[in-house]
Amino acid sequence: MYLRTKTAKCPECGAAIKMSNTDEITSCSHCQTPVLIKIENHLPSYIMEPSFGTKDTTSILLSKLRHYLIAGDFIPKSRIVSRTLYYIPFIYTTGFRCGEHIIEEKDRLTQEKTEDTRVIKSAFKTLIPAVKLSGWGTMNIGTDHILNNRNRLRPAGEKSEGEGIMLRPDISSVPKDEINLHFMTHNENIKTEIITENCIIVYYPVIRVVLKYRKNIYHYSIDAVSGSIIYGIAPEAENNRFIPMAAAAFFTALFTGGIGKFLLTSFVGGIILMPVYTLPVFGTFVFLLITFIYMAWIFYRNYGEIVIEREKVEINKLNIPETTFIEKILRPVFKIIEDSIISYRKKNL
Amino acid sequence: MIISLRCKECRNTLSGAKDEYLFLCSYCKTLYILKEKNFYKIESFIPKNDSEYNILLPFLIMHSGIEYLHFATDRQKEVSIKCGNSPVIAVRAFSMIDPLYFGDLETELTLKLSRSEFPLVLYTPQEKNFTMNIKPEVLERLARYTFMKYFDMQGDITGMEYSFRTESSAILFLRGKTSGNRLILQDVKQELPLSALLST
Repeated sequence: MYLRTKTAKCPECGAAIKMSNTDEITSCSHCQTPVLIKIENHLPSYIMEPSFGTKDTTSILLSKLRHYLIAGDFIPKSRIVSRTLYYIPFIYTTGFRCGEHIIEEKDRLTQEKTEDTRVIKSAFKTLIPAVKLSGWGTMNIGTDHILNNRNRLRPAGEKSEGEGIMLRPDISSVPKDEINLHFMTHNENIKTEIITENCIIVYYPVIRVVLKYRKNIYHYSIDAVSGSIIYGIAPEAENNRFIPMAAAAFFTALFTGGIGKFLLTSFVGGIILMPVYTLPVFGTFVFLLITFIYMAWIFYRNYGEIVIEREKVEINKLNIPETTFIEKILRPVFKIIEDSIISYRKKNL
Repeated sequence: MIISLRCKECRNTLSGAKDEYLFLCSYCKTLYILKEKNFYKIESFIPKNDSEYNILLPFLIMHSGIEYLHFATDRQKEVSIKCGNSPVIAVRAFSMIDPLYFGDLETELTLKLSRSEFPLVLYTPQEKNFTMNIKPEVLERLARYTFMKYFDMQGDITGMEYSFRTESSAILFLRGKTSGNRLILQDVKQELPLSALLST
């Protein structure tokens, strides 16, 4: 918590009273009068208790990952770089959307227009992240996660030190604009206003796990209450690399077989003409052979990735680098193969 | 803002929490509501019921008046005057983490109070066993729409112009008791999930 100390005058004796930036009940050090300090637009803070600690995260994460089509050696070969508990601030707002809905009706016989007004009074609840974190999956935490675990909510002041990192919220007041955007309607006959009944800051526990596999780093956000993976990327299973490798092997076999046969017959046909006639063909054969072996190796070395969000799994694009000159030339070939693989995998998911 | 927590009557300390708006003098049992920057004395009522209770849920009840009426038909005038002359509007004054659990209890309570379905008795809390943690200003805005909705429920009251004003306000405590994970509101025969309340 970032505290700023201000002073105010005691309403009884006028002595100076130190006040922080939160609501509090204190007493005047001079006349001992108990005073209530209320800060304008102050939001009470609550913290949600995690149901497990960082030490248990590894087993929970790996048990979850087993259910997905990830690389077979990912679990045994990946190494944990760090496990950190973060408390991510959210603005949880409940309130009412109140107003009027003017219903216009037209009489079929007389064609007269009449207006009828209905009162709108509906309750709402929203959860808005109070910090911007890209790649953390904060948008996957919804109001249901707060409501289902509401018995774990504690006032933020009760949290002891050293249990995790509390991120500082960027928003300090009710995010009226964002709430209004949420309920915006294009119907001119509906005129409503948002009445915020209750607005609190909820610190939601998320354990950030960093794994190292081969030379790549993988970040995972684990819901420290339910244990589910909020967001994470994993290397996909080797099975998914079978198709491009098989395709590369097929073409390699086709070309080597065809050109090999041709070379054999031309060798028998005339050794004299070999430098003029056979060598370019042989050169082409070697080039194509190397190309297909290289493609197969690329597909073996570089794997696709799957994105895990809560219970949903989505296939990311193939993780093929384009660093070398040959890889840049082969880009259109990779694109065709990648599209066909992704469409194939989507059918089989 | 900084406010003295001394009772205006007996200078004793008022009991309440930092997030609250309803304070009780533990000595003279005067109840204060914190509105804007000042404490105002407020009366409290409770439905006449002899049953035991352990939880008090505060509602802000407001006696309202209609300053100006403009009706389209005589029937509307008759109905409007009947239900709009002295309606008692009730809005809950405790925070709920899930407002959708509450449904239309406020409108139902308003109807019951207006029809005098249960008589209210003056009540003086002996201890601070209640929590009011919504700004009274917010409750007053909510009351306006509860009143409009209450009018809607009477039927056929449309195309009417009126001006609504609050004449007096008081606190109504509804008694509740826990049963498992449920909070049973005895006076209105309704149940709430106990965990729906942000603080009890």
